[in-house]
Amino acid sequence: MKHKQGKYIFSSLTITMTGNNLEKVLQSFIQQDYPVWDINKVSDTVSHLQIYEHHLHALTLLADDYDMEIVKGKVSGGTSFLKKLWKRKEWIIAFIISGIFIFLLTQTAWKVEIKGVSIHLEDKIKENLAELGLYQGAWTYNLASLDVIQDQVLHDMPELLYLGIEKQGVTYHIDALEKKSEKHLADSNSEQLIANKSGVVLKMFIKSGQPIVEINDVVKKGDILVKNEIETTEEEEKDKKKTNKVPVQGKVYANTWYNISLTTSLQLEQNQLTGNHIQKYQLQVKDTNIPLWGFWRSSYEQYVANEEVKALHLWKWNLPIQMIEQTIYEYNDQQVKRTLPETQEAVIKHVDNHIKTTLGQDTEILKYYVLHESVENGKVNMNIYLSVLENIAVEK
Amino acid sequence: MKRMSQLFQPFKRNEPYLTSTTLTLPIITITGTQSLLIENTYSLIEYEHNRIVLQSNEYTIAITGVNLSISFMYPNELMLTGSIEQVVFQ
Repeated sequence: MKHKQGKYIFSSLTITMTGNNLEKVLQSFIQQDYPVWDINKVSDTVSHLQIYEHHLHALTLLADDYDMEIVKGKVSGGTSFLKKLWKRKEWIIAFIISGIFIFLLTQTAWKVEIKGVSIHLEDKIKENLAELGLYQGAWTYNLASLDVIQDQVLHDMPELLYLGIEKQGVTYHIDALEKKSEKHLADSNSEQLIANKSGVVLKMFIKSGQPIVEINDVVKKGDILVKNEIETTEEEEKDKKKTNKVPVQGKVYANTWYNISLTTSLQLEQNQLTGNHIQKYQLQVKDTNIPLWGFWRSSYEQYVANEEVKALHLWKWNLPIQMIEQTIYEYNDQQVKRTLPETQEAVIKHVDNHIKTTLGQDTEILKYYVLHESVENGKVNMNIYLSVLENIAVEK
Repeated sequence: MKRMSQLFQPFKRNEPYLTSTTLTLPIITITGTQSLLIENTYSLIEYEHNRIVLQSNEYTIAITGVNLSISFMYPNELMLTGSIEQVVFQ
């Protein structure tokens, strides 16, 4: 039984043998460990039988020895199919070209649909997306990831509250929401602006409300700066004053003071990219990585690698094959020795950034004084007094 | 010692099933009158439509019937199909 199962993998051949010594031929043939099956006697001298195609030569030699005639018949089995296919190379080439063509078609954006916004915004979103490479008919293989495109469009269009991009097969569906401005309603419990720090008022920008303080006033933490009541007098009854509640909006900038102590090093270690880089491409099939390009290039002594993984897909199906693009950048360790004035300048820049990050971008350092400075073991210790202009008004 | 000897008891008591003599005899399996399987050593002596003669070490086996054909033929195995009427050992 076990010998016959191979006929589906290897080619098997139907043979017609003519002669009187069939039994001797068959006996000698099987003694060489070659199987034979489906032996049928058609007449006294003619028989049909089946053997593996690659055993034909041995049978032919035996038939010659025993004066038998062999006529080859039908060939069947796996390898015979492949041989026939190999003879029709145009089929193979056409199949490969169709496969490549279909794959290329699935890497383009067939449709980009935008929902949830007005036509005017829809056109604007389409323009933004087209600049980023996403439009109907675009080649999407090299497109940035959808998260990056979403963030970029939201950044470029502040009138959008939300933007979601979803890819379904070869169609991109975009859901967007427009921001709506809220109107403040006036009521008896509307807020006031009070000072959250002590300082000297230098600038005021009041949109609505009644300011209590003036420029150059000294205010303490908790003092009311702008109140929500406005006194009005009517034309007919000038003695009577009427108070109206209004919502308060505005900014009050005051001069405040900070004392900061910090330590920094005179010698700075920096990693700087040299500009040299190499690219390597790999194909990942499940857990196996097959190097495609750049694998012969050796990495640098000091390097940082950036890896981008792109999944390959066919319509809506994700293929279990991924393309990995690795870019390796070379960097150098540099030790920069700074002078004392350079270190002081770097410290002030750092303090300025820190203040803006903590207190708001509209905060400004008016003046600074270095109260104390010392250098020990290559480190600089500084005690700085800052005079800062910041918005101290908060709603309560 | 007694337990050790008990362990080997089954092997001492029974004679082995397959002797060297048994291995040379043909094993014939007949399914109804339609198929016959012969295993172990044999040689094909005669093959006709209605008669097949095989030679094993000690016997000549003649199988007669109608429309006899050989389903497969391997060095130590041969399967006949057809309408088997008689199996004669000579």
